[in-house]
Amino acid sequence: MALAQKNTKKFENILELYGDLIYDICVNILWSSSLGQVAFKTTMKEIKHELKANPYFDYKRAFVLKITYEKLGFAYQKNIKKLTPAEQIMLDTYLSLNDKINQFDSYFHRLPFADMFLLLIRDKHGLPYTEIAAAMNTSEDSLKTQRQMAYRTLEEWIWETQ
Amino acid sequence: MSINCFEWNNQLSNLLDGTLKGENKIKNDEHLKKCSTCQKHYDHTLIIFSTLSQQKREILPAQLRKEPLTHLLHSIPQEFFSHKGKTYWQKTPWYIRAGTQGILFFIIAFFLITLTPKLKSLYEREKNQNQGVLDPFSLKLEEESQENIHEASQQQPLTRGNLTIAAQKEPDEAFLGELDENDSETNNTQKENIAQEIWRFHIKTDSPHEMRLKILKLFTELKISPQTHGTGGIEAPGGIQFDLQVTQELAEKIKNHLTMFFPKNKDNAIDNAIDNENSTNIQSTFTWYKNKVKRAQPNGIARVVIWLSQV
Repeated sequence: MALAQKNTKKFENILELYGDLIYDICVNILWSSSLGQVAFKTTMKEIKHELKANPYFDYKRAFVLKITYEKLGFAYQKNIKKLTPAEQIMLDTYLSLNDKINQFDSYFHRLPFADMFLLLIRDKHGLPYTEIAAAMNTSEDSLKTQRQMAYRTLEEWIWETQ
Repeated sequence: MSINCFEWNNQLSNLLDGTLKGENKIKNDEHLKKCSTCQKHYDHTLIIFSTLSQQKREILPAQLRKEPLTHLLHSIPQEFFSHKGKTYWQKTPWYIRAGTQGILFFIIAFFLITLTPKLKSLYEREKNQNQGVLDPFSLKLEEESQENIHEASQQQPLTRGNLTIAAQKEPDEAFLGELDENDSETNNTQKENIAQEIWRFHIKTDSPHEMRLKILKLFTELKISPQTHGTGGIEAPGGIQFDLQVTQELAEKIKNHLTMFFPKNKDNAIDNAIDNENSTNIQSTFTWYKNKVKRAQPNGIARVVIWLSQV
């Protein structure tokens, strides 16, 4: 009974600390409020399940991010928002630079899932590389290279540089 | 010593994070002053960075914060969070898949091994039927007809004897050749000059007794009276023979029925008819020919000799 109460408290603590972060990542990557809510709930369910399975494990932010990364990855694969050919042509040819920057989200969501996840939690939320590397199961140097490549890709799309 | 563009690119992530310090930062700044391309890239990167970092942060709705695990939207399909592209079969554990595949393989192999000889025998039987070789399976009669034939065979008992009279050719027989249905004119012209016709049918079969039942059935269908002499057949060494005198029309009908029953092999028919005793070709199991005898007989009566020889 005491263990269950302890788990509930831990879960509430995680929700309080990282709820906004997880929700923001879910909504931004899936580019939909409703899909983001479903992804958030599924992630929280998984976290609760993990708490029940390993009650003595010290759950830190990296672990929460790891679960979010896995669950969100499945959800993203099932719900990739692909632009129509007309939208792609519009984004690539007709827009001026200012319009393109205003349409930043459209370019951002053309990136692969891992790149979007990295840029969001690193540049928007400012999380350290160590936690991101643990969540994405890769090295810090790889993340830096990946981040630089993602920037270069966005730059090519928006400024049409080669 | 300053750095080149490649090295500067590698430091871009650290530069954005503000973690470059000391000598490295000085080298980077010097390179940016000299290289306009890298300066341009850096400016663009800063714009993207600032756009990203200034994006509005979504706040967890109060209801969701209160009940984070309930009220999952029912409209979302169940496969929302499932693995993409994996079928049910792929998700099945490997040991179940391997076991199932193994069992299926053995079942298919078993059927192939057991069915191949049967299919081969069926194919050979079909081939033999097309070539006129008698097939014991085709002799299976329906129950009703078997009863009728049984009655007929009781009425027309099989007698025993030798075949010195019928099986051998009579000395005054002259060969007329095998008649074809298209040869009706020739047939008619020859009829006028023939005193008596002998129709000889030779059937090679595995079981003359079963074939005898067939012939009896044929006689019944043609309404040949059981009292007619020779309809019961004579059993002799090497086979069974029917020797009976019927009208020419009936003889023609018997010929037609037997020709239909045994598809004709035209290439061998005449040869076998001419040299019937020396014929060894097992495929030409049925041959027939018509002879004439100078012996005077009543008009319109023909003699039919059916010889069922044991193969």
